[in-house]
Formats: sequence, structure tokens, C-alpha cells
Amino acid sequence: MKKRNDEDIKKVLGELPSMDDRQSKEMLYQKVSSRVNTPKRKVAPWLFPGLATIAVLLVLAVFIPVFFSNNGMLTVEESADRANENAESSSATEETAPSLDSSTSESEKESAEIKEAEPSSEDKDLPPEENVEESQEKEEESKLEETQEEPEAELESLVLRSDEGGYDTVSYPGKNAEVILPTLQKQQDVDTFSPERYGLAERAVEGIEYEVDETKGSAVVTFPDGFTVSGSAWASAIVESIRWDLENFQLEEIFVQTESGNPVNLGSYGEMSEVPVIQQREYIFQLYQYEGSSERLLAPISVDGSPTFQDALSLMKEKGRGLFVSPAVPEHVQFTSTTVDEGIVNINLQHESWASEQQLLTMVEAILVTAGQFGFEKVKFNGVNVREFSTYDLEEPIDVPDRINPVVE
Amino acid sequence: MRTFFDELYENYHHDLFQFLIYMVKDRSLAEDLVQDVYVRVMKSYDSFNGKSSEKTWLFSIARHVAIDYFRKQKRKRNRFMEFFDWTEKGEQIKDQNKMPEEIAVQNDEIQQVYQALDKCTVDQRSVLIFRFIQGMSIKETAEILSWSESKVKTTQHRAMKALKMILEEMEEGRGDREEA
Repeated sequence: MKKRNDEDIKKVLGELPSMDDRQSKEMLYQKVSSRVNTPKRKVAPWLFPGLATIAVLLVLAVFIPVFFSNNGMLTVEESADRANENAESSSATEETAPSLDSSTSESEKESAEIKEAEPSSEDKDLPPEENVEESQEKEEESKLEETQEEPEAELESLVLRSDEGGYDTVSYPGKNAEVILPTLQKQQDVDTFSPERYGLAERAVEGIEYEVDETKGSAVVTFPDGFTVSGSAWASAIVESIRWDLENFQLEEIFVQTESGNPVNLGSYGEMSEVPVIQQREYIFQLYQYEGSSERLLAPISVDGSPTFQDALSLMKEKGRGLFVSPAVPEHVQFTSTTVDEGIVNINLQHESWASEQQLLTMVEAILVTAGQFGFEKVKFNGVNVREFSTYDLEEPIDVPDRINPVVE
Repeated sequence: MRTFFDELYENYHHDLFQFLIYMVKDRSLAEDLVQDVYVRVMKSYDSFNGKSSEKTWLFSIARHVAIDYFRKQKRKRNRFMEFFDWTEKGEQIKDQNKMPEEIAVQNDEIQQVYQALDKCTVDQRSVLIFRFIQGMSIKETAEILSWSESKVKTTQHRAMKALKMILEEMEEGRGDREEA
């Protein structure tokens, strides 16, 4: 059997013959211009057949019951009697109903009193957003003060800059399943990782298996037979977890199926046999930090309508993108313009004083990761007015990192 | 409109048609699709903002036209298969022997590579056509596909690997038939 190397195949591809269009330029132009100039149809093509079908159904709906009732008058009389009986019994029920209602309302009042006195477990787990933001801000402020007092403290990086192997991407929902946080874990640490420490919920894709075929650029995700999902938030958490778990493989297709090969019922998503892979311009990155946890993670926040990178930078500053999620870009930073030159995006910005080196580092990394999501390879920051800080040389374009959120137990 | 059409036709028509015919492997279909491309281009010329080059813009539209065609085909096939429950037979409907005369007169190796292209994914096929049949650079290919250059390189690597495997399988199949 003949062994081929890449060069042989490239050569043969290059030798594939040229195939010409046999329609003449003039003919092609006539066809194209006639289609371009065709006025748009004003009425949708399905409108008249649709109306006709509805009319037929209405006629049938009127005539079929009449037809059946004529076949047996007795049935009609009997059902009329039954209807009277039902009416009588229902009025009897109504008479007794008030006492039931009053007892219910009393018990409701009691339970309401209990709730007021003792906040529910849900309230404990999920405090109101405003309070969380306030407490997060306070914590951040106090943390900044700490960092300023202890300049030698090690800075926290949220990306993996070297192309180091041996890491798996494992995604977890945040505490209220609003965002999915991809984490990078050493393969040997996956079993001992504690999501609680990072303020994360349990995995949404427990019991689900991945089979990745890198040659075909596809993966098959197998769910147990009889799999069900409760609630649209959890369905979304499952789908997003799958997409982020497999993001690093740069796949073209992700198929989902049950063990017996059927499409998977994913609640509000309906029956699915494919999950879309992550595309460029789908996410910006902000910070996730659960209350009481000292750990922070970069959170992919989905954005609508493939915004421009300049718009994405503005979106990165917006608050209220989810519970426990806050912008990584400080309010005082203004992005004045962005320009693109051969895969390098130049970001021109103005700012007031940085609260700490950590604040700058986190912002830089969140922007780098967002730039990577938007298809750029390097980012050059202009106007930061800090030549070099411990991790990056801001005078030079910086490579976007491939992977985020390395966690070490 | 005429001048714009003339300009596009003179500069890019040959490459555009080559791309489409190698994507869909059917001359009359490629002729229809090339019309679709020009229609879309003419209708959306006002929205062309000049951020990308004219060539990048044109080929990116051509690629979307081809992808739309494949999607429609897939939907039709799925409906068809559901209706008749033909399961795998639907995949076999395509005439495997149909080969344009330009290819039919070439040597076996070229014919095999031409057939093997069919079995690559749409993305892999696009990259192979742009890179090696049309000789575009990685940067140009990345712009047309709206991908990063590293994704083009990865897809190219996978495509070459897949193509090698398909060719080996084809030769094994042929060897088995000859032995029998």
C-alpha cells in the first residue's frame, strides 16, 4: 500500500484540474440581474393555503359534533342530565368551600409568619443581588487594602500562559447556575477537586460521557437512557458545560445521544441530537466570586449578536451580568479606540490610578481572554502607563492565552 | 450594477466557480450556486463596509451559500428518511460514479483525492480548497472563514490526516476487491 506524506497530498491537490463555468458571462448576468430586480413577494406564500386550511378545520369543527349528536339524541339527553347533576354537586361544594378556604388562609398566614421570622434556606443560599454586589465590593476593597499593605503578596493569575499539557477542562455551574465556569485541573487532581472551595455547584454533566474524535473534529456525548432534566436553567447549565468542557479541542461538531442512540430530551431545549460548538464573538469575560470564598475565576458571559470588539470591551464594564459576577475592568477605565493589525488588536485606553497591581493584572487577563474569544492572537495595550509589572511587558503585544482558570488543590 | 458585476467576474469568477464545484462536486449545481452568490453580493453591496477585502467578502458569501445548500440537503434527507424510515439508505442515494470529465481523464491518484475530498467535513474541505487548490495564504483563509489563523492550521492538519486515512482505506478496499 502506498504511504503518502503531507507534501504528496498537497502536490496532488495542487494538480487537481481547473474546471470552468460553461455558462457565458452575459447569460449569467441576465440571470443574476433578473433575480436581483425581482420585486419581493408582498404576501407570504403560505398565507392563502394556511387560511384555507383553517377555514376547513373550522367548518369540520362545527359540523362533526352536530353529525355525531344527530346519531344519538339519547346520549345528548343523558349527558345533559349528568351536567345538571354536576352543577348541583358543584354548588354543594361551594357551600362547604368557605370553611376550607378560611382554614387554608389561616394556615397560610401562620406559615407566612414563620417565614418572616426565619429566612428560608433558599434565601440563605442566594442572598439578594444588591447585597451580594455590595458585599463583593466591600470584600474587594478590603482585599485591595490588604494587597496594598502587603506588596510582596503573590499576584493571582487567572490564565494558563504556557502551553503546558496534563490539564483537563472541567466546567461547573456557579452557585445559582447562571454562569458556567470552566476550570483547568491537573488530570490527577480531578477526583479530589472541591467545587465548594471555589463557590461552585456540583457538575451539571455527572454521569454523561464524552468521546472525542480529534481526527474528525467531532465529539459524541452520551447521556444515560431515560435521562430527564428539571428546569430550563439546569438544561442550559448542561448544554453550556458540555460546550466549555470540549472547547479546547476546537471541534466542528458535538453530537448528543442517549446510550441507545436516540436524541436527548433537554427540557426547554426539546429533543437534541447536536450541541453547537463555541463560536467566536459569543462571550466576554468577567469575574466570578462566590460570597465568602476567596477564590476568583474568569466567567464567560454570553453576549448577543456578535458585537464588535470595541463593543465587547464596553460590555465587560457592565454590572449585573449575573449573581456573584462582577466586571474585571474598573469603572475608571475608558476604552477610547481599538485598531486591528494582522491579528494584533491595539487597545487605546485612559484611566485614573490603579487600586493595585492585582486589579491591573486581572483586567489585562480578562481582556486578553476576551480578545482570544474574538479571534485575535495578540493584544497591545496603549495608555496603561505602567511599563512592566511582574507578569506582562505592556510595551509589547501580549499573546492571548489558550486556557483559563487553572486551579491547584 | 453592471460595472460592479463585470469587475467581480473578471477578477474572481474563475476561482469562485472552482471553489463551489469542488465543494458540491456537481457542475450544474455549482452553476446555480454561483448565481446565488452574485445575487447575494449584488443585494448586499451597500452593506459591504470595506473592512475586509472584496475577495474575502465574496468568498465568505460563497462559503455561506455552499453551507446553506448542505443544510437544506440535510434537512430534506432527514425528512425523507423519517417518512420512509430508510435509515442508512438515504446516505447512499448520491451517485458515487458521477465524475466530471476534467477529472475522469486524470490519473488514478488525482481521481482518488477528488473522491476522498467528499468524505472530509465541510470545514476541512473549505480549508483544503482555499489553501491547496486555490493557493491562498493561511491569513487569507482565516479572514474568509472568520477564524483565527491557529484554527485554520488545526483544521488543515486534521484535514490532511483525514485525507490520508481515507486514501488508505480506499486503497485497502481496492486491494481487497482485486484479491477477491
